[in-house]
Amino acid sequence: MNTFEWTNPTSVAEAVKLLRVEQEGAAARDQDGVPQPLGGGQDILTTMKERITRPARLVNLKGIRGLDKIEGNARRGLRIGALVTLTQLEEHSEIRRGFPGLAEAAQSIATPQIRNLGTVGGNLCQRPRCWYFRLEQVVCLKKGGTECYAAVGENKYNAILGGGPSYIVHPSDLAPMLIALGASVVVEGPSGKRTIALDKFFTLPKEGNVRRENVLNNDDIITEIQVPASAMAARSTYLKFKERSSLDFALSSVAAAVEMDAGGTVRQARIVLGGVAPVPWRAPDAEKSLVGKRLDAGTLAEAARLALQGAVPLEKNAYKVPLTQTLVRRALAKVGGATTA
Amino acid sequence: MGTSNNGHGNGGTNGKELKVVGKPFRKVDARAKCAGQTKFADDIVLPRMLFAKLLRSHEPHAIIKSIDTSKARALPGVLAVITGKDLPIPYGILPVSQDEHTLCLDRVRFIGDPVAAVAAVDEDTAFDAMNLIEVEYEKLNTITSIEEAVMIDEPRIHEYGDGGNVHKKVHLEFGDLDKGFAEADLIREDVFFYEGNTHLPMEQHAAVAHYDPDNKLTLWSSTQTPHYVHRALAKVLEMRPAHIRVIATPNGGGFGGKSDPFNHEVAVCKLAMLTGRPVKITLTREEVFYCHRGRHPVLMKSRIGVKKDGAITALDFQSLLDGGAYGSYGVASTFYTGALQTVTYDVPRYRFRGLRAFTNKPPCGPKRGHGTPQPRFALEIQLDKIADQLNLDPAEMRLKHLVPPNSLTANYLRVGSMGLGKCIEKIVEGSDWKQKYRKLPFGKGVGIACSSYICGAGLPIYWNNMPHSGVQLGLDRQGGVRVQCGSIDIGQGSDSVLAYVVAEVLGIDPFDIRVVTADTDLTPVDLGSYSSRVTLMTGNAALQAAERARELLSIAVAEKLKAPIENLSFADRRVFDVENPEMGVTFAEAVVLAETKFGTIGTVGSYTPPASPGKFKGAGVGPSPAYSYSAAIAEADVDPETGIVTVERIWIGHDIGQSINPMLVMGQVEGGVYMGLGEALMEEMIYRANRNVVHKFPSLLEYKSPTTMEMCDVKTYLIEDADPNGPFGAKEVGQGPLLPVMPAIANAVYDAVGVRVDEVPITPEKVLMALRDKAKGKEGRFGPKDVPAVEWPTPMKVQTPAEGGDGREMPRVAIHS
Repeated sequence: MNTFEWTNPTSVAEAVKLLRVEQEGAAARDQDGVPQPLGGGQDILTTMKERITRPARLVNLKGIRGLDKIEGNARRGLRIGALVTLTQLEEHSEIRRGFPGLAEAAQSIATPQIRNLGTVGGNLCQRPRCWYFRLEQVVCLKKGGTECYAAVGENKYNAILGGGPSYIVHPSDLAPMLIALGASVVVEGPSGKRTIALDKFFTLPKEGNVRRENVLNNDDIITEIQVPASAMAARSTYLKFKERSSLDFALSSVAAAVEMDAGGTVRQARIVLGGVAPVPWRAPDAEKSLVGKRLDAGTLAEAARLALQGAVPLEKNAYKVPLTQTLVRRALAKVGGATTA
Repeated sequence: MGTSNNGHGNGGTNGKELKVVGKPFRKVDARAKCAGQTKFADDIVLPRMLFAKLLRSHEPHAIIKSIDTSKARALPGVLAVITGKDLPIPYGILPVSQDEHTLCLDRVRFIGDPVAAVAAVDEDTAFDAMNLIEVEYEKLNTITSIEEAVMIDEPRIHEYGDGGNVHKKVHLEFGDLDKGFAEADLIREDVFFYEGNTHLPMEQHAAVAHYDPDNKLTLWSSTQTPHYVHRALAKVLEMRPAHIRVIATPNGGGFGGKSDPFNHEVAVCKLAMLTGRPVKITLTREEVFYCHRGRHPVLMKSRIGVKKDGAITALDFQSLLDGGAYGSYGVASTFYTGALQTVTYDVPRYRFRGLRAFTNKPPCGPKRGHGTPQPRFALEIQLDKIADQLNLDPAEMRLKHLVPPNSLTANYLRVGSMGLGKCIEKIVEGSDWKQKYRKLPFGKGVGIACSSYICGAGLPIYWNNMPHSGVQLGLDRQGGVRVQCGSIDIGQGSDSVLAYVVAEVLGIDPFDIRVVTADTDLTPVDLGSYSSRVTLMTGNAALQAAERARELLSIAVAEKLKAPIENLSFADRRVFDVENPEMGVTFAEAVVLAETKFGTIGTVGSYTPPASPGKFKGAGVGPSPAYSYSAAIAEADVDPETGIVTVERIWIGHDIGQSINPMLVMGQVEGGVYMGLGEALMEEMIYRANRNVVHKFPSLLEYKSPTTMEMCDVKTYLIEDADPNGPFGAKEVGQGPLLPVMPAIANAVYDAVGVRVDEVPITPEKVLMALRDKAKGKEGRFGPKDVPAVEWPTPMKVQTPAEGGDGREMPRVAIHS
């Protein structure tokens, strides 16, 4: 990896200052060479070792106090510090009880060792796993090149929804679940704090800066994730298919949450897909189709169909469509619990 | 004591109860391994040591127009930069394919082919220097597949071989095939594909070279074949072999991937010679993927004739291998895809056609099971289809037609002990097969498959009549014993086997023995840890050396005790009179008596395999002193909605002859099952073809292989039916148990959901495609449709033993008479 400066700020304001880049323009578009924040280091270190990012400075956030706490419960909602580790999330008793899908999503990630170090903030800001992006020699669209090689190359793991001009999929497992739970992120930058709904946080390549995956500026830091109390949280789940059960990203995943009345009729529902689009992919039509219905086989099948409507598989990833449809059905059946026919 | 042992290990026990052999002793190096104290090649640090890096080609096929190393040389901290012209002599593991250069001379043949090497004061400087080397390439068209290699002659990847981009063609015919097919009640023709995969040893290859002021070169390397590396170094470096010492460091896994002499090994030697300083290289994981030498992708077509009861009347087998960019063991691999079909079930007439193609990918070579998993996958699925068609139980059908023990196959392989029947019986009973086969609910299934493997190749890699394994014993007058052998422990426990065998014969504790192995200066030649040869061959050599030492001690002790020699027993660190056990001496006293009488006590033992009955050209691959047998039943759960296959459990029977250490045997069986699971379900060496032949992603994340989470339950049954050629009757276990796993899983998938996936890996996507096809009324099969047409050479015809053949090629005139 390249040589870099290592800094240890003790406050968010100091960290933001250290992340500031004097020259705007090109550097604002390219986050590969500028100072970068470091949480658990589980993603950025790999990008540095593979020489696909060359930050001039690492800003270690772990010296900032107070960002590693989980507060709240199912009644009040959750405030999750950005430096909370995935293990903390997965083991937190209030989360396991009140937000089961979030604990499941955390547990589905990588390995215990990585979860011990990886942070919630870092998980949301992971860079894509597309192998063209991860190969030093390939200068793809995401790295300032002119072509998305996955569009016509090896694209088994790439997008079937929302793709173009880049066909990455977002690698975060927490993001789909947090969006299903209506979460927001608190971001601090040079002009202070702002709160962004998580479903407005990620950017499609065709809409935002193709070299980025979210709305953050170079000198923005996520400090907190807020999960509101919700009638859907108790019936939430995260189903993830990975080709091997440990140490793998989602080939596709489904985060689902529903609220049902005593008679088993759905009042509201959220379905967010992972591993299929450049952003966590919400399925509003599928969600709407469930409202006022009981979760019987026909309803599940229709929701699954609607969730994948508009999917345009690339040459080698058509399998994601039936796989994801099955996951949608199973996730809904699971959150429907005993009331499912 | 010069005569060589040639395969008549008598067990060495004289009927005595075994004290060490067959007991679950810990490995002699176990504690160091568990405590992280074992010194692997990368742990070696020498004063003033430099670090090397290889610049590897980013072009899959190109002419090197020029290489400019001036900027790299000018970088502070760089001590030497070498390119192909510094080492112009080619090498290769097989004498028939000396087609590799340490650094490419004028052409690169795959992405990852090394073109220059740098030695610098640290790894980062070496890396930076490497990036300053400028190489100008002239791109050539690439050959990316078997089909392309067969069809496209130009550009040729190599200027040798059997024409165009075909490396090797083989055509052997044993017996009258037409007659065999005429006798058949059912003839099937099936096509299969076995995708390539790689070894994935936990330890990346590493090497350290030291050239001393007296012009002696020492190389430490994680290699499975120090003797062959020694020979290659002498050739390429143009040095006297006597001035080169190769020490194989303990391998952190090999599986066949460290069996070739490698570019980096030669390069660090040259760099050490140029700089006068020690030079180390440790390959990155990415580079290990480029070194490869793994499983050949093989496209196969099998035509088989059977009687109504499943008896095979004739087998006509074709295999087409994608060899990658160099020869490696490829000629042997090609023959192995045809050799061992005949040693499980009776195959009275047999034809084999094999072809190996050169392609612009990392070279394929030997991986656990070398050339055998692919045809075994094909044959065992084909038999399952036959049983289905004939409405026979596939376990019973196999049991009925086993090759008999002590027989000669149609292709002249000498079968000795044969425990496959017992393996099948055990797993059928243990798995409750009869209650499960075709009786489990939709989505659950069982499948069976069998296999056999060699216990050491009958012939060495280079032609000679010398022993394949040598052992020297030194006995210390205070009771210690030193065993020296060229064999290399790659984790399988070969050092321990040496200690156990010697301890058993001399009646001492295996931990009293100092094992010195894999050092060409200190140990007699053993050919290496490949072809499942070590337990049988070094075991026999150690047995002979130990028996010779025991004889010397017996003479001296008998004289002292005034007891008849035949009454002496060696046990519990004592030598005593069996009729009067308190009459005896300690083992150390016995050595003192012998040393007093004879002088310093040292003995040697060696082993040469028996001559092969086959005398035709090509008969060199397949013969072995003994064959191990395995049978496996897999129980699988197949999700019909997603195609996801979960293997719940595998019952596996392995005919080991005699366990030298049952715990290590079980470990090898379970390791084989684990590796088989990966090959069956997810592992694949795949390339981004069409444009570039880039390895998809050479990393442990993207190369999917199972974790402990995927590992199934394994129930192992060891069949111990001593083989007369094995030490104490022992046969191999390192490779055989892998072989039945993949076809057993494929057959279980069929039993579960009624579709055939005739290729590995059996991915969810392929299962789902087959299920959807079946739902549409189609065949319900995923797999290749056909093999490309090949112009095969005139067959070499050999009459089978049953036809009165003598193992020689029939005279050509006789063919037309």
